[in-house]
Amino acid sequence: MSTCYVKVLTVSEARSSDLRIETDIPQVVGDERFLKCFWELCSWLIDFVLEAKPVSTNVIDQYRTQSKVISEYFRQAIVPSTIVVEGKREHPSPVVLINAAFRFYLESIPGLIKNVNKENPASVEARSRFAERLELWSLKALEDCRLLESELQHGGRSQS
Amino acid sequence: MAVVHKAEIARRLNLKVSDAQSLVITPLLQEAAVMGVESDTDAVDLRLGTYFLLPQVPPQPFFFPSRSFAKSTHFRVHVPLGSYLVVPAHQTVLGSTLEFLKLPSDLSGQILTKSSIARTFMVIETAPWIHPCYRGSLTLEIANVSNTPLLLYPGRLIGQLILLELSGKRRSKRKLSGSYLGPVYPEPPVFNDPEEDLAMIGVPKSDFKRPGAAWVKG
Repeated sequence: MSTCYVKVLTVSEARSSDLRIETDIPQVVGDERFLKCFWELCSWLIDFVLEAKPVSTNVIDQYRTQSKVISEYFRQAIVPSTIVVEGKREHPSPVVLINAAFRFYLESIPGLIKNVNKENPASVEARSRFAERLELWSLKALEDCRLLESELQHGGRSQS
Repeated sequence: MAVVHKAEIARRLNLKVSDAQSLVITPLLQEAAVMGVESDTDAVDLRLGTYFLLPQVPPQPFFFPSRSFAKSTHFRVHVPLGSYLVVPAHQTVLGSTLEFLKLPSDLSGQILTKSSIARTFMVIETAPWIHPCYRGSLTLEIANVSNTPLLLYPGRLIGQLILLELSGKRRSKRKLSGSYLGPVYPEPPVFNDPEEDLAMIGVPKSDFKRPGAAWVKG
């Protein structure tokens, strides 16, 4: 997984006198400690989450097949409540949507900004503005999911 | 320019989003009914969304279409499904479609008031043209031109989307653009300051009259 946060903070630090990132740990050591801590947390967190709320393998499979497609919808500034996978329309579940949106937020916002005319992916202001848009699209997709689910249960739409 | 047939609309809805010809309309509730499967219409019915921008009375006795003034003239309200919004006689409100659209690069669209709605003297759109590649919910400029207050129920069918094929050479793939990229709620108008717009056609800023200024130079 790649993230732009360190790069964004570094750029921000160079451009703003208000933002300070201070550490007395040398960067190489810091990176190593950070990664070690991250992996330790991950292994604990995965066990904890599985214990607290068992994840259905169905949702994991859906995430595997749908997350890249959802990411492409976001990159094209489209709400992904209905997506086309292998020529068939599908409605991603809220769990898949939230995870795919957060992954897009971490990894792919520059791809979205690059896709828009007259926008600079290196601009912190543009990143903030598009992160806000991404949140709106994600919330809209979740609202749509609720409507589609409700229609399926009460309105008589057949599941595709 | 020809109206796109519903079979072609259905085909495009199933194309991959990376295909420039793909069409997205989501959520498509009661799909068979809104696509007119059992009728001869070649339009897709659209529903009213749940967010509105209500006009506020400005502090000045006029609306000044400038960068800062435009955003301060509305306030947002959410009307959940099942509730309603009252539009008094001869009043206006900004709403949006419940559906989010993405138009292909070779089609443009037009939104029309559903005839049953129009017969109550409700007009939903004064800027009905939708450009190719547009994405977002459609902002509706709803006006009650009748003499009676009318109720708006979010989620009900309110408009019809007609798609039109562009003649001539197909457009090449372009970057996204537009003042309103991917809106999901109605958004207030976006203006430059009028003196900036007029300066671009050669009107000196010194000649520009701000509201309230004397019309004749003393």
